Amino acid sequence: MNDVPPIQQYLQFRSEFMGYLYAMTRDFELAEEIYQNAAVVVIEQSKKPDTIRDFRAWAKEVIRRQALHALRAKGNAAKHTRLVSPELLDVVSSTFLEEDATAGPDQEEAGALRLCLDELTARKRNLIALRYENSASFNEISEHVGSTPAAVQRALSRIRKMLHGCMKRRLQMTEELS
Amino acid sequence: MHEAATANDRGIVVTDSPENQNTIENLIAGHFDGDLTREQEEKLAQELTHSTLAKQLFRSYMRMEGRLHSLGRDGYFRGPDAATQHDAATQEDARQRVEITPAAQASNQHFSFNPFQFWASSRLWAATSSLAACAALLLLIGWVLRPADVSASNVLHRAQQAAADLVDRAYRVTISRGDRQRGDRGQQLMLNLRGGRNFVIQPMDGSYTMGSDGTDLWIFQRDGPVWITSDYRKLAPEILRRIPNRNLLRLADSPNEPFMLKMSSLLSLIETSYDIELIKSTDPAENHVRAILRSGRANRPENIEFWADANNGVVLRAESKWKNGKRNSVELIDTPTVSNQWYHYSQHAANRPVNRLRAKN
Repeated sequence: MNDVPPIQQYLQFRSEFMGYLYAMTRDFELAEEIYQNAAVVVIEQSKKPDTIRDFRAWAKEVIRRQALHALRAKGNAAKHTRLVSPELLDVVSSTFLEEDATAGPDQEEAGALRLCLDELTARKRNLIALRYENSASFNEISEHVGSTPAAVQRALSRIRKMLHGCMKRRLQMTEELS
Repeated sequence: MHEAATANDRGIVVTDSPENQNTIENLIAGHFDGDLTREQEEKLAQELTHSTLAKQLFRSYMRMEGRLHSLGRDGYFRGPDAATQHDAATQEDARQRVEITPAAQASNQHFSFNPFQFWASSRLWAATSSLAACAALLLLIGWVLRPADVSASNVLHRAQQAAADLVDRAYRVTISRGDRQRGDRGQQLMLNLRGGRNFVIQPMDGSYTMGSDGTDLWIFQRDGPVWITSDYRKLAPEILRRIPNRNLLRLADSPNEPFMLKMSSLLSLIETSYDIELIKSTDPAENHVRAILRSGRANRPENIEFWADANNGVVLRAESKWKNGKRNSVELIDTPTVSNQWYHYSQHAANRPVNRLRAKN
């Protein structure tokens, strides 16, 4: 039995859960809202912690259900908005749930990402900051940097791919050296 | 080909098919950007169903996306220069508050609004207090010369003055997610305020308590230690890494969220970012103001309404509505008189360990 309060355990998995929620919603605000709604469920569950055997797996299921519920509500509220296809949502959820339940937060990967971020040029870092710190839309960023929304989207996509490649290379180097 | 792809326990993909990996990465990137066609979504779903490589890559991107989001929320991308610029922008906002014209132009230089940043700097607070005093004088002169005038900006400024008064007020805060399908009953919290600097807030279930005595911001969970800082702005990243229940600070900090902790913050937000109009009130003892968000910024309420006492300007209730249906409301329920010490953490968390987080110079 883990003595760490459920809400603290939940917060430790924030990045992983937010990644999944963004993959499902592609909406920072909605992802954050679902994350907080799930936090309420976790806090309520703190009153009967004995019922949770594997917190991570349990929390993932809570997150998944909250996400699907929120997406249904969003779909009902805005029929004109094209949501991700149900088939893809299902398989994204399966991918999220299937991950090794015993694995903890990977500090090495997080450290590698920070190093890669530090290597970005000021302009690229600014784009990342606007997107991830201010949750700005492509339109808002384009107004801020004097570009077009499409160009901003392409630039961010390239930066993300670059960061992912950099992160992988760093992890491989670490692995080879260890 | 799919089964030839393998990955180690860190999610590093080892594959003999770089073309396939590139195709999958493009699909994943397209998914996160939200610009896949239905056919491409179908292709990605197939890859994720059958390919270990695709699954590992997707998980890896998903984790990276989550980490970027978390780093952003922790203020990781903000350098010291950005903080200085934000200070300047905030002071500019404060300067604009003197102008009687309602809803001064919001700065384009920053996207987020941080209620704590407003009072965290004592220098800024002193400047703002002086400006507020000048504004009060101007309003007083205006009131004497033209007592019959009631406008939305007039009501807003009187409400701001009343919110800055060092009077204890107790509000009931109700947060509703707008989720009618679940029979959302809303979450209720009690909020005690004195002026713009002292507050104590606690949800009805008592799971945590958060407050400020005007100098320190403090927070504790039901059975946890007390966490204190005197400079939230400088400490934000540090707090977020070290404090166990950091999401609670998010609740206090984020304009997305839930409750605008202090009435003065809510009114300042209206002033800087909203167009306001006076609504004919059904009760002559109240002035009713409606505020409509000027820009389409999703993380702010699109509509805020408040009702202020026609005599003294005190906000009696306020309702904020987001476009996704989320609602907050605050309602004045009492004006208790409490001691100066009541806003200090020791009055609420006696005999608990205290963790003070110090600002970096």
